[in-house]
Amino acid sequence: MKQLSLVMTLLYLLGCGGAAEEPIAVSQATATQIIATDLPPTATAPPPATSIPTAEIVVADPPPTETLIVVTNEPTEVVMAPTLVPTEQPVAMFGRTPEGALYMGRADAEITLIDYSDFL
Amino acid sequence: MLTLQPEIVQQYVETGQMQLIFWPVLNHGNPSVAATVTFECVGQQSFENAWALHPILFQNVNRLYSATRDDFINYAVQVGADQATFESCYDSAEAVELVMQLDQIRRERGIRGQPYFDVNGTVLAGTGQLLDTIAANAK
Repeated sequence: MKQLSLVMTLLYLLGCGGAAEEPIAVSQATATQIIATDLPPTATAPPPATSIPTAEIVVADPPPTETLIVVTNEPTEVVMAPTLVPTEQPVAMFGRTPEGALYMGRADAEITLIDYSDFL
Repeated sequence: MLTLQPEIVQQYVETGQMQLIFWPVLNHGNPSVAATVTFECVGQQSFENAWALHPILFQNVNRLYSATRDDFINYAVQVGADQATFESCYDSAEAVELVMQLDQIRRERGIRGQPYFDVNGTVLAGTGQLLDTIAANAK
């Protein structure tokens, strides 16, 4: 009789062991529910989350680089202009000799022609 | 020089190869002085206007012998000179003194006739060898 009761007890224990698998099934179900519930918010959240930062970067980056280029170019142009002008300005087409005679043409020309003439 | 000057100016002056100096010669008394003072007084206002007047005076050489003060004023105004400023210069002694000084320097340089030309130190009497001498001095 004792052996029979032991066998029954073992069978009961084995029965409890099978029921012990139920939490696993529940835990798997909750895992899929968590994933399922997490996905919709993450699926909608990323687009605005990624679009907003990229928009901010695009808007924020170009202005600084553009202003930097303009700022660096302006001074060089201003410096170059005065250096170019003096090279062409000395070419005076008219003037006076030290004695006071009027001339036309470059003072540093290779040919100097003095025209001694009377208007009459 | 009147006939050669346009060619010389175009070929050498405007290309930067030549400086052309007009040095007055006063060989015909007061008409020479008056014409040269007119050139000088227009030049005091504008070098460019003076050189515009330069050929006009040569072209009217026959009229200059009997030209009056008003005639010279008209020549000056014709090329853009301010009349009041020109008259003030024309009537002053300073312009006369300047052209007389230039004429004296010309004499001291041994230039006794006109037209004479000095091309880089080579003195020529008349225009006969002028273009060839200029060409020889051009690179």
